[in-house]
Amino acid sequence: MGDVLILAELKGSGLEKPTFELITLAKQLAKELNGKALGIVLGKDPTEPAQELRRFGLDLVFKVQDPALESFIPEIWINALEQVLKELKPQVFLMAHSPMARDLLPRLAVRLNSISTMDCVELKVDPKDNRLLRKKPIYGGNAMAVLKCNTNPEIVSLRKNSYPMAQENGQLSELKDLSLNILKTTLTQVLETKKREVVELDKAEVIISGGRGVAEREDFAQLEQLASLFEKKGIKALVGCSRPIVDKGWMSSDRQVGLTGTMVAPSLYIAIGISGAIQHLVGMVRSKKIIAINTDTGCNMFKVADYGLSEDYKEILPLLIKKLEEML
Amino acid sequence: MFPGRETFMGIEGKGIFYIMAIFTILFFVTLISLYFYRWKRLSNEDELKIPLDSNQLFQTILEILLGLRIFKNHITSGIMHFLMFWGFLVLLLGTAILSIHEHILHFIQGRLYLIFSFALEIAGLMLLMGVVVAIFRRYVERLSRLERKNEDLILPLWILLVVITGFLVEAARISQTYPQWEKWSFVGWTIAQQLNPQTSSKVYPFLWWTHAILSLGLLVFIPFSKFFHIIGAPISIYLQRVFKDTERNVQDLVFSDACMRCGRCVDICPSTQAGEHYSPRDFVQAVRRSQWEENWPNREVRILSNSGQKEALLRLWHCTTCGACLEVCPVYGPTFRLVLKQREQAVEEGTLVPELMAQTLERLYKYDNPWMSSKREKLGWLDEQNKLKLIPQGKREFELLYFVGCTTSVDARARGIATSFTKIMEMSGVNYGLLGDKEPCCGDIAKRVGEIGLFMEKKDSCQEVFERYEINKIVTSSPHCYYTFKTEYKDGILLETWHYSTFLYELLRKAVLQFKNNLNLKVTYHDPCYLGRHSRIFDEPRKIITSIPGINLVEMPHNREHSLCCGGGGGRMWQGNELNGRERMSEIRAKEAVATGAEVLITACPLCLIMMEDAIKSLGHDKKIKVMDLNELVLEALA
Repeated sequence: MGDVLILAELKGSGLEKPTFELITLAKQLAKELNGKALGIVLGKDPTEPAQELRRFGLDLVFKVQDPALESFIPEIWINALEQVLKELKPQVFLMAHSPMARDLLPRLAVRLNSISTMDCVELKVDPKDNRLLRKKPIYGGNAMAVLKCNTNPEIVSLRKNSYPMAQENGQLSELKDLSLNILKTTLTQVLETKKREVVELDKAEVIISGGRGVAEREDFAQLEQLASLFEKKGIKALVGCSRPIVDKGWMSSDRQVGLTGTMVAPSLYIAIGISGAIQHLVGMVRSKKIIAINTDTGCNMFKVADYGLSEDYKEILPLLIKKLEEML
Repeated sequence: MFPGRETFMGIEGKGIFYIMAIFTILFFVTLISLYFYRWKRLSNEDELKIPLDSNQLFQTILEILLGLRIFKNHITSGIMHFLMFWGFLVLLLGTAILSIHEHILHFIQGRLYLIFSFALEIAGLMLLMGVVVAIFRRYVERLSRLERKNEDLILPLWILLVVITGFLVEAARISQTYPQWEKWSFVGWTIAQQLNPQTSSKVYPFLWWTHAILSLGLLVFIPFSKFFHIIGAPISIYLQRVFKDTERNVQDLVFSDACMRCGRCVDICPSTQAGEHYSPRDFVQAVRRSQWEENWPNREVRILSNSGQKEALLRLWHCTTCGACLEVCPVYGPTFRLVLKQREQAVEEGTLVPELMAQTLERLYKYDNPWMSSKREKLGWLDEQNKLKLIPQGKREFELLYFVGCTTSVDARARGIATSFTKIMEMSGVNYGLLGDKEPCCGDIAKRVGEIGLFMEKKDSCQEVFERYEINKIVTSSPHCYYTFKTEYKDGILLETWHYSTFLYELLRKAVLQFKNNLNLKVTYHDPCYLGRHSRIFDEPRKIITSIPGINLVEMPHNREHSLCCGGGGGRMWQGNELNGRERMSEIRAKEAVATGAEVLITACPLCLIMMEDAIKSLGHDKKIKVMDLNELVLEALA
């Protein structure tokens, strides 16, 4: 009999997406191990995320509440999790493979005299001895390794998109508060947290890019409008650009697509007035569908595009926007 | 009475002077030997086998005596150096001859004395004028290429004092007795007339000793200042002449020690001129300083110049290795090679390599090209006709291999080079073969960014492919591949390497190519660095262009060996915006091309083609001027 514990990472007042994959996996493993699927949230006031976590059919959800857990200070978190694992004694401890996991898991493994395996893509139970079979890519993804370790807890981080997301099952799991001795004095102190505005182009599903062919700075408003229409449909869309636009100072360099900017591969890439110097093409040629809007049909972008519109963007964009608005 | 004079007239303590002189000379010789010792210590044995080439030696001496290189494009500086050089040399020899005259053979008298006096007088004036010009250019005209550090002021002022005290000593001597023949020492004679004989005899010993000590002091300065170029420059020039393209540590050591910060490289470096934080001169000085500080005797030797700030060493990714600095350097210093050495070290240590460069190298390693994450992309430009030319395994039915190159194979624009060149070859009945996706990278990029291990691997795979398909004659699209095969593959099977421009020229010369169409175009030609400066191919492309009917070739201000780099070489094609300055190198060049009023800008390199086209579009000049590869132009004239 072995329990499976997952640590749910928080995003604002909700849960990080990969947590739902962890739930699916935890329930599956707990069943095979004949144990319970447990979840835990840590934070300054994790009531809301804990409530959310309860809706997915875990056997038990724990909540650790302490002001010191507001931001991620590894010393405090490791100490807290060490206590959790010593108290709950799960056979398996799971996290999503995140920067936090990279920081926490190996150190936890050392403290508990156990072994951690990072970035696994599949976990199974060996029926012979009820130990985990941990599958992970090695040699830069050219081979798969299956590992088995004989120490408890079995500490594993899971690569995202490896398991389906758990669905709500209409019942609420039992919630327990766990009180721990949270470390009060630490080497690290958080003085101030500042947010940095980063445009994560590579996370977008749709990128609408403008290049030197976009004559006026104001015309980028149309590109923004187009992007917002996709956003309305729940599709993450961003406006990007090619190098000359950054040079002109019309956009910040984190919007630049290409070798010297961000390398992207969205589902849809709309290139407006971009002729496609190789430095730009290298950065977006892996996009699933490419639409080129350019008056010069001989340009490089037309050679890689799936669809090409040989029109002035000033005429095409308003039509496109209108059509999309009608469809929504 | 014969014209002549007593050497140590009225001076007591002759012995003290000689002791001082001997110690100064010993000190000087010791310090100069220290330089030689360091060069020897920091080079391996093979490098020190320096051949004695009488022709090159003669050329070197000629160049030094006339200062030819210094005159080039900088006439005032040339005159300044010429005056100082000959003034200094004649005065030095004069003084040496005088001591022979005094102690060994008494021969300077009569007419010879008059000639001797007159010659030294002229030499003194030349030195004086030279120094005045030098000070004027640095401190009044304030040329941007000249720095103003401590030694830059102290040294010329010191020489000025030596010359002035020299003339004053002479005047004070003459005014005591007024021998008529001293009219030949015309400067001294003129000054003497303003002097009172009594005062003269009083100040004479004081002036004499001041002059003597200042002169000896100048000798002490040489090893500690930019004046070391007196010794270093001739050696550097000779080494560069006998070794040419080979990479020897000793050359670089001597060169960095011989650099006198004249800044001609600063004036022409495309990176510096684009306002980037890089200057070849500062880089050389930083290298020199770190060489002195990191190797025995572990200290900076140029005590009067706070030059060679080490931060300059960190600016190692700007250089495009275009070689323009070598073209103007009076001591023939290949600064770009010092840059490459620093890059090699950076790659070795893995610290200073920009992330983007690392990614490019990784792609090169994995996919055999710096662009696309797939080898098959190299097949993308082939049409049905070309596909027939792919070399089947183990068969050799072709005369030469067309080595298309990575960028030409994968870039949509540069592919135009390949499609037009193969068409020209078809039309000319050339039996060529292609490697398609089996074509490795020549390794140029790896080499120019200092990833020597990767370069060696690429070289091995190229040589292996050449051997497997029995290839011994090659024509390349890119001047970069061409240069790499020519200079870096010398140890492998002997390859007959052509760049397509020389190959086309050969076809033209043999009258295989015959232009039918009158194109009626005004064009200008951009010399790619690795075709022109590095491979000295300037004429062939121009001859091809001008033999096309109706073509009017106009030159840009920077042409041939003074061509301006497009900014794509030395790995810069794959570097980020953070290196850029006020302006892009390619845009500076593009503006120059537009200003000629030409309708077409012709290049002969895939990187130049991409960079120039991009720059012209960026500047919004694409309606005025079109960028074409030489092949595309030739094809238009043929078909």
